[in-house]
Amino acid sequence: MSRRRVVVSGMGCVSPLGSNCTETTEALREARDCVTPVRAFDVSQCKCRTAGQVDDPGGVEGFPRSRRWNPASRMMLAATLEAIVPHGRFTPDAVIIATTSGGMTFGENFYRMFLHGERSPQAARWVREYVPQQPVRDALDALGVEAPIRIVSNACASGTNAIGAAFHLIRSGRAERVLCGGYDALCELVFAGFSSLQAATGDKCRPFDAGRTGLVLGEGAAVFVLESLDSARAAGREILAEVAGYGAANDNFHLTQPNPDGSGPRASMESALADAGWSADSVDYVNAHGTATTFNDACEARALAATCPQAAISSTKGQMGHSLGAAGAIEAAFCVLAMRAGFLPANLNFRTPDPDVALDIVANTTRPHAARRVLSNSLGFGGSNATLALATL
Amino acid sequence: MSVAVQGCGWVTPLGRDLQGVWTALKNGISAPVSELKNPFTGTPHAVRRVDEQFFSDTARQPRLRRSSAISHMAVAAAMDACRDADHTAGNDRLALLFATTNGGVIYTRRFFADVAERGAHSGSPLLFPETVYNAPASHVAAALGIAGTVSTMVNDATAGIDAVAAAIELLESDACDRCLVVAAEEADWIICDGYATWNYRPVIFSEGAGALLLGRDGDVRIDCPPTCRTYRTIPDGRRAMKDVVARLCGDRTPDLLISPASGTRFDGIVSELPGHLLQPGQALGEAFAASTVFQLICGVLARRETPGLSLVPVVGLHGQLSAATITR
Repeated sequence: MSRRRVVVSGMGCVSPLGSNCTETTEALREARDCVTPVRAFDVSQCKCRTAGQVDDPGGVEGFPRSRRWNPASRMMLAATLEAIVPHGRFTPDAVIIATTSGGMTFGENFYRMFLHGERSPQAARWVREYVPQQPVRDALDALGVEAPIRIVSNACASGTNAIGAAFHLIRSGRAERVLCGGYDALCELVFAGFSSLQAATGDKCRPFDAGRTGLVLGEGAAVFVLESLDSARAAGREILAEVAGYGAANDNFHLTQPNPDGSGPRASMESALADAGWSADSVDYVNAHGTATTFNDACEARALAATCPQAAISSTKGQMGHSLGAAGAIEAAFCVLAMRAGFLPANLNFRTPDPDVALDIVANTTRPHAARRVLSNSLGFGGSNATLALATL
Repeated sequence: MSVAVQGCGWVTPLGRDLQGVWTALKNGISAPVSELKNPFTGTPHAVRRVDEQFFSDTARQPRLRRSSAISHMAVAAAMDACRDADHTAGNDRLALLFATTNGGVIYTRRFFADVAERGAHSGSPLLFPETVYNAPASHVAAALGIAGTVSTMVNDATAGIDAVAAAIELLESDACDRCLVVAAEEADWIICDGYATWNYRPVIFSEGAGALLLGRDGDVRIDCPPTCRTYRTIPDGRRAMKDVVARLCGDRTPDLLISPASGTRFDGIVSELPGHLLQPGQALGEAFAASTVFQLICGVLARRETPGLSLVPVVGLHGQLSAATITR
């Protein structure tokens, strides 16, 4: 079987940290706290009242029709536009995008229409555009890109899974260029969901801290153009990073809780390392899933301590919250940006080391370091665990 | 590359017995029709439902006690597919790809009803986890002890065939030894109302789950393109479908065409394809991604009876289409 080297030759990122990769790099470097009070709906009776929110001006410049779209579609367009700039207009062999909630705010509108007893002229549009593939289709149509869409939805591991699937397609020679990534926009249903599980905190999001009390939600989109190393070199395109390996594992423990023994993320990390052909001690940095919930961080810390005890660790969710289906893609983008800029992203709001977490946490400020090999972890509901191995070239 | 279909299972509005439902379909028997009403407007929708007795049987499984109908159906179909294949070995090298169009819509609607009526603080923690698209896959993985690749794919009806394409990729790259492809949908008034609002009116909506156990060895083989094709208009779709079929079949003529037709304008995309016609959607209703796997299972069962070529075209309502061939 063919095993071609796979590289990132285009990347776009829209998140609470910024509307493009340049802004995002600066916010990452400054370890800026981009979590703000929720604006989109009433959270006055919820314990958690904050989230990482994208600064959405209500339309993407140069695309007037985007003003009518779901915010998720605008994020996808902005991220895709930035990703394909080095390529111009092109036809990818596949588009593999992750999400957990699609254009759910339109689904919410549709239900509320019945509740309020008023038929809306927008109803048909809400139905057509709430489905998970529509924001991707909106972005592709606006950019004149014609390609089939595959939507991956494995809860919070989705973004990493989507990149992993694209990586496998190219490495095996079944595809030459694939657009991949993830998106999720903040919506009331999901906010209420994490609130109902008491997983969301009224405090700051403090990954791996002894006093962590839960997550805050976020939103955003990150899109990558992956292609073979040979193809990128032949076209003279700038290579942003190499995707060296991918691993996934399912722990079958509980629908919402990871196995506390850390076997799920440990298996996915070991699988990614084996796939990349790396030894664990060659990993400089791990961007942890690190949601700041008691269970997630304890489980992941065990896996990290067992797999990569020497690596520097941070979760970037303290800066922007948990963007669910987009998280794996956005955090992979953070890894690429940080490797290229020569620093390790900060684990914000870290006060007290957890005695059960003996890790080298990049606490509160970025650390200058020219990382060459990094892992990016994602853990999700349903026992989904996934890890990407990314490297400089 | 084609792979083998080693086992099949389905939970349909006509029942769960593999041969029983197949015989009924061949004899032109349709599932009974019942009514789902929008409680706010009173608008009735005709649906073909899975028999309630099925759910009382599966609810005895501890993990499924609180789960939505879609997970019950997915688990049952997956277990039946394994049983059909006599698959009793360990599941270390078994992968699972779950496909759906609408996901766990009943619990999602119920969860959001509380939130919309009483505020974001009032959602049920029992319902929310089951609203997540990959909840059914999680239940199937737990029921079968699948620790490797487990992934959920969401799209229009093409999700079902895209999952088969992804399974072929996994088998080809040696990421697994066998792969379960499961697709499931559950019926709810809001889905019926939604599609009617959008002016997508199939003959009758329905629900159910289908599962295929794929592996490397076996006489009945399935093949499909690695990715779907896109279309904009019905004539455009017709052209794209003919091209997909020509590439898949080459100079072979299918002796059975398992049509996705369910009474919508999209049926025109497959109306000119060759082969003796079978339309399971007419008897089982429109269950989106699950209907796709129902079509594929019909193609497999036909080939178990006689050698030949089954052609299964799939048309999604969000501008994607594909097709599969099943041969023996």
